[in-house]
Amino acid sequence: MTHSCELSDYRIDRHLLGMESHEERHALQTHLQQCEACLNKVEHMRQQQQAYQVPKRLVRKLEKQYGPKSESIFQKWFWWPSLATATAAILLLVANPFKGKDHDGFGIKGPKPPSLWVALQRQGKIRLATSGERFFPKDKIRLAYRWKTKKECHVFILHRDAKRLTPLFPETRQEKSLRIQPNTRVELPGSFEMDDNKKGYEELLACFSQHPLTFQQVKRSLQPRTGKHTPPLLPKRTHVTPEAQSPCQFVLLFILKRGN
Amino acid sequence: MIVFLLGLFFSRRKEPSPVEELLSRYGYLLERRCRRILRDDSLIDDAMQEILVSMWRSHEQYRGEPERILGWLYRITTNHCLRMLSRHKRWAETAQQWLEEHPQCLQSKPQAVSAEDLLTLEQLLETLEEEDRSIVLYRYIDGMTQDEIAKMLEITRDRVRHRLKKFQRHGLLLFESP
Repeated sequence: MTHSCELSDYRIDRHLLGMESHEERHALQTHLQQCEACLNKVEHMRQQQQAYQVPKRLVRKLEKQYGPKSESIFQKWFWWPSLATATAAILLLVANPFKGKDHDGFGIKGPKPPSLWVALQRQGKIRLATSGERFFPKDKIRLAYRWKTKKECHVFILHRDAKRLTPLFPETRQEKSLRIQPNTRVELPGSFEMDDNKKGYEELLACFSQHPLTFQQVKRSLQPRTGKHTPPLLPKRTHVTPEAQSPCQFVLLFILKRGN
Repeated sequence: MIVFLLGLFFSRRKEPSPVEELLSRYGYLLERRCRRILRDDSLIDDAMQEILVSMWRSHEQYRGEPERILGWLYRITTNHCLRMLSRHKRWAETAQQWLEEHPQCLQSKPQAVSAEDLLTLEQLLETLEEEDRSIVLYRYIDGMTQDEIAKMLEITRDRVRHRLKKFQRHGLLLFESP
C-alpha cells in the first residue's frame, strides 16, 4: 500500500461493517484485486474484528455505576403483571382470610388436618420413619398423633394388608374409636414388631372424627380402597384424605413397604 | 412469587445491555484506535473505561443510525485518547512514534526525525485546539481523506481544509524559526 492508496482504517471499517454504498464497494474490491498490501490490511482488520471479545465484567461493572436508571426492570411493562400477582400472594399469606375458621364455620379451607408420626427403632437406633419407606423383620414402630382442634375428637387406627383390615387402636372390632385429647401430642402405648417376612405394601390408617365410630363404620368409609388392594402411590409422609361423605373427617395413610 | 423471581433471574441473564451490543459490533475498532493513538497498555485500559462511560451517557442519541454511530465512536475514542495523552504528558513518546511511522505529517522535514523536530511537534500538538488536533490525527496518522473527516465530524469539507492549512502553516513557522 502506498500513501496514494488513501485506504484509511475508517474506510475499511465501513467496508467490514457493511456501511458503504454499492459503488464504494465495487471500487474497493477493484482496488483490492490490484493492491496486495491493502488486501492484507483488510484481512488483518477482519481477523481483529472476528477475534474481539466483549469485556463483559467491565461492562457489567460500569453498567452498575453509570447505566441509565431508566433501564430499571421495574419500568418494563411485562413485569407489572408478575409484580401484581406476587403482591397479591403476599397479601393473602399475611392477611389469611381463612384463619380461625373451623369446620362448622364459614370458610373454605376448614380445620387443620391432624398429624401422624411413626417412630422406627432399628438396630437400637430410633428415628422418624417416612411413608413409603422399606421395613424389615425385627423393626419396631411406635405411633403418635396430634389434632389441633377445639372440639371433642376421636381416632381409630387400623392396619391393612392385601388380605384384611385389622384394628390396632382400639384393638377389637367391638370397641368404638378412642376419645383423644385435642391439641396434645399423644403417643400410643406399646410398639409393633415386624416379625414376619412379608413382601409388598401395607398401610397404617388413622381415621379421625368428631364422634365415636364403630369398626364397621370406619371400614365402610374406607370401602372403596379395600375392594382391590393395589400398591398405593408413595406420598412423602402421611397422606391426608378428607372423606367427603364418610363419618371420618380425616384419614391419614402411612405406607409400609415390606421385603427387600 | 417463584415465577416472578425466576423471571427476574432469567431476564437479567438474557438481555445484553445496549452498550454491550454496541461493543460486540464495534468494540474491535475502539480497542484498535486506542492502541494506535496511546501505544501503552495501561493507558488503553483506562481509556476504554472512559469511552464506555461516554457510550453509556450518549448511546440513546445514535440509536438506529449505524453511519452516525461509527463516526460518533471514532470521535469519542479519539477525543478521550488525546485528552489522556495530555493528562499524562505522553506527547513526546507518542509523537516520536507517529513521526517515525508517518513522516509525511510534517512536509517541511521529510528526512530523518531529530530530537529538535520532536520537541517542535510536541509543542505544536499541545498548542492546537482539540478539534484541530483530531483533524490532524485523522488526516496524517489515520490517512483519512478530507471528505471522510468532514463526514465523520459532521462539519463541512472547507472547514477541514482550512484547519489543515492552518496546522501546516503553524508547523512551518515553528520549524523555520531560529
